[in-house]
Amino acid sequence: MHENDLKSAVERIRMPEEMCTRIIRNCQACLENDAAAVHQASKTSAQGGQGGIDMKKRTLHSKGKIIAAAAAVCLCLVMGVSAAGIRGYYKNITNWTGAVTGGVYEQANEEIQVSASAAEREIMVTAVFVYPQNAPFREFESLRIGAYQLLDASGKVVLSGERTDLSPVADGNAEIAIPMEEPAPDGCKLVITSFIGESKGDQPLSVNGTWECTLSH
Amino acid sequence: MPNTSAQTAENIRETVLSYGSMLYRLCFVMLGNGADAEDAVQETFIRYFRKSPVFADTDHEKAWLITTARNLCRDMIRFRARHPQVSLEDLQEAAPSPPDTCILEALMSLPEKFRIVLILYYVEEYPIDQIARMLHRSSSAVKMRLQKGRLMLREKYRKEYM
Repeated sequence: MHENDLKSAVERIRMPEEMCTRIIRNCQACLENDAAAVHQASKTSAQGGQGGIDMKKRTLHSKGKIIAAAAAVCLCLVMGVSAAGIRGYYKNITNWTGAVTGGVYEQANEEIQVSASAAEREIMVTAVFVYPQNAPFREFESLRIGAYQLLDASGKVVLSGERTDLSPVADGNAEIAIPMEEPAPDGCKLVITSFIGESKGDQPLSVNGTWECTLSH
Repeated sequence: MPNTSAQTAENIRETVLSYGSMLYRLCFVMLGNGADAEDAVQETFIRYFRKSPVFADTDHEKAWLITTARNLCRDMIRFRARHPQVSLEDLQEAAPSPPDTCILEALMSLPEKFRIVLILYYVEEYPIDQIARMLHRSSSAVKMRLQKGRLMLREKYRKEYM
């Protein structure tokens, strides 16, 4: 085999006549399409520039639709949330091996209503279950405050504590006393971050959330 | 709708007739398939007419076409590797004489990097430094590929066709 054989062999490969014609035709068609596309695009943009009213109308129309849709979605969300409220959820407590060692109920802000009144040597906290027929609140026989803080008008912590005494739950209500050594100053705010619900034979369940209320005298 | 001018049509015809066969040969050897070679050639010309590059001379123009065609062939080869096809077109269709077909078959069985160097050197008769510029490789790399490709081609031809 000689290199010249290679040259002659490769040079024998010729493009067939019909293929050549086809390529020429396709190239022409392709360039014509390109030119037509450019022409069409320039025409459309020119029309858009002259007839701004149509474009404007279309824009406004679609904006109106968007606003209406957004309003409808917001309304649905507000109605849904206000009807059902934001509900809490159970969360497992795991140890370092990943084994579940207990549980807590999180985000219960909307499921307990709290009010507080200051007495001479204590603060009386009234906790009302919004859904007393639902778990976990229907199981609770007694309730205590897990963690709380008392803030003065400037936001300074006057008192903080954990685990008050247990109070019985009756009809979804519980009145829990926070002992005080001296009367609470005026304008104080009570912030509770957890309740602990207990029932016979069950492990106490911590119900977490944030409840704020101004003390009434 | 605007029409392509007669001058442009004539220009297309002239360019395709001048370089069509050369590009077809290159693409056919690279791809081993007439239909794919036609697609590659057509795409090369379309790119050429769309971009309308400015060339210093006809050699520059030819080198641009070869480089573009080679890149397209490489893309097609990569595509084929990812999407295997059922069969290749028979070589006899493009190369009628049996001994030539054997050389072509041997050539086409070589890896792509050797094939392109052999074609550009022996068929298109480009000097090594120009091939190096076209392939973005050093002259010594091109020389090595040429030498190795030649050996491989000879070996293949001797083993399978003699």
